[in-house]
Amino acid sequence: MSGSADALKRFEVENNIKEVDPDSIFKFDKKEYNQFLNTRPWAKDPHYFKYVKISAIALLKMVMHARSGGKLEVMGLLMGKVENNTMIVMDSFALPVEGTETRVNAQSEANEYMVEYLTLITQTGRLENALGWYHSHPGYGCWLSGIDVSTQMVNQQYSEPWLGIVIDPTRTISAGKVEIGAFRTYPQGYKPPNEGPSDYQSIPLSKIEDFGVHCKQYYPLDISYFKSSLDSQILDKLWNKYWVNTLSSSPIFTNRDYITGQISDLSEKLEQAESTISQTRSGTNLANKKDESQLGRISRDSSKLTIEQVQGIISQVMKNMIFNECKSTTTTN
Amino acid sequence: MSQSTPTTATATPTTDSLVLEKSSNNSGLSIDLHPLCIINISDHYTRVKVESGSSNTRVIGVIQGIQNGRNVEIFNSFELVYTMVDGAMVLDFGYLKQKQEQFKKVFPTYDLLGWYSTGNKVTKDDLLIHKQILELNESPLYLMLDTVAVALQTTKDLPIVIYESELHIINDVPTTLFVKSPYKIQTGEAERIGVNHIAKVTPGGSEGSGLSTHLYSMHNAISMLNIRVNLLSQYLKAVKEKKVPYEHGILRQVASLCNQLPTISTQEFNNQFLQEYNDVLLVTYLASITRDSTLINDAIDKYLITHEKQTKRRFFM
Repeated sequence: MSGSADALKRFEVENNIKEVDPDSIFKFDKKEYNQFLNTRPWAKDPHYFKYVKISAIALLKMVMHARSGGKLEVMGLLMGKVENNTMIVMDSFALPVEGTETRVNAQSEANEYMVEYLTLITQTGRLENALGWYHSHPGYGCWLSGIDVSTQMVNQQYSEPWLGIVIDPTRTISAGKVEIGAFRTYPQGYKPPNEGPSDYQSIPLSKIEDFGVHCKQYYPLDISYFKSSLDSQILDKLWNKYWVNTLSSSPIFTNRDYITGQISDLSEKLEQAESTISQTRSGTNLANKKDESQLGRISRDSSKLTIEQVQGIISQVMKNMIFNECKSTTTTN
Repeated sequence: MSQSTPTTATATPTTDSLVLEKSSNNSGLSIDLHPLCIINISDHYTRVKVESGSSNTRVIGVIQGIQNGRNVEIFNSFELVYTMVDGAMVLDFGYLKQKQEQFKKVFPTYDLLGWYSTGNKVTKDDLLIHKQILELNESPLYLMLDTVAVALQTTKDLPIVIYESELHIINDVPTTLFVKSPYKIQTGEAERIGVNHIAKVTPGGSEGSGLSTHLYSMHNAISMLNIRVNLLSQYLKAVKEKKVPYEHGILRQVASLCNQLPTISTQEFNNQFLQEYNDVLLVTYLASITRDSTLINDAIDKYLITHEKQTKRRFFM
């Protein structure tokens, strides 16, 4: 491990994982904060908040909660504060709501729970307020659906500053990294400046309409993570214990459903693309620009899927080499 | 693990008698600990430390998880509120009960398994808290996170000790003693990725395939395995050269470890492994066909554009 310390440092710098030193980010000054809130700088600029910082514990809690929901959407609240144009998520907690499909919505029961939770937690000396909400999109990517957009919009009107986070637990496991997105909506009637193409992600055919209609109503925020000095020391030591889990995991098996689903989704998209292409080919080539990207998108998705599969099989092959094909070497050691 | 120095031993002579290193009647409890719980405690400690401004803070809370027979799995934790009454900590049970109910609503399978604290040795106060927790769980566990050892980098191990309590008769007086329990770190799939994500690697942003990350962590894990295996083989060599006493227990364990290899070598496994392999190859094949046809389509479009222009130009001339 010590040999890779430099590489690790580099990694941390490259990936915006900052060690908060001396843990000053955990400090919360209520008076100063309320003063800041009263200035309401976000009211003037709909694009005011640009960055999100998520604490280690908040991320872990969200990922695990999202995963525990399986194919159901789960939801919870974020706690934290804002600092200039950065929203800092200190902690998160789960809400007793489960939804299906794109229909996660806080019901009255959840609201009650929320209020209870927030009042109770002040007793432990936590001063931060609710900062937003998170929910999961198992298997269909991180974006806001129509209902999500309206929920977020209402909350941004009444309980600013408010942030929406979406996590895809299925893709997290498939890709081997946390799939997460943080969003804020624009106020109604606001026309966003024509920005460059946003980060591309694959969206299943059944959801593409919902995505397309609303995707101009919100914008993503840049996410970075932070951990306390104690966290990072513990995490270093934790590696000594849990490396076994890296070997024993096999994403290719845990996510079979998802992979099959992705392939059939791709074939549907291909069929659709085929029909549109054959239509435009016979006519003029004016509309070609759009069709190209349609096919291009499909090929990008399929490449991504393949890479994930290859990753999975690589670990399987390695494990097979280590644990099954060791007959000859046992005596020489 | 923590042998107390002579000075502290004289100052608090009772502390050592509270802990038993090894129990004669081991309960055989198998404890799995999830990183989420550890990070949660660490977060709690950091928060209180920064808020109060002194590094000499102590936090307590309860640990939550699932107990199934002799298997205990610790998933989560939350902080506790306490008041000082005559120098002793008294837990706020109203708060605890309410919080417990809230927890049950979201994680109905989780039960209260015990409590946690920070510090580096068991004190008499701990026993008092332990007795309060006894009201909620007949045999609570006590998880201690040594924040001092972490900061000093003194140990390579995780500075976490889990105790069970046992009733012993010492000098005809029944006394509760803490007994150290072994534990394992357990992670779920999503949790592992999450921990990896915050611990080091995983590139940010949606670009990049993560293949190098994946290989990197595989490499790390395998070199870790290699270190362990080398350690074992060194030990065996030392035993062979009679530098180290011959210990049957360890050698038996090593032998059983070796006998587990190869792990699976049936025809059935080979078939399935091959099938899996071929499936992946097929997916790769399909993806490259898709990619090729995309490129060809692009080329055709480009050709059509240029070709059409040429014909038009000729037409106008």
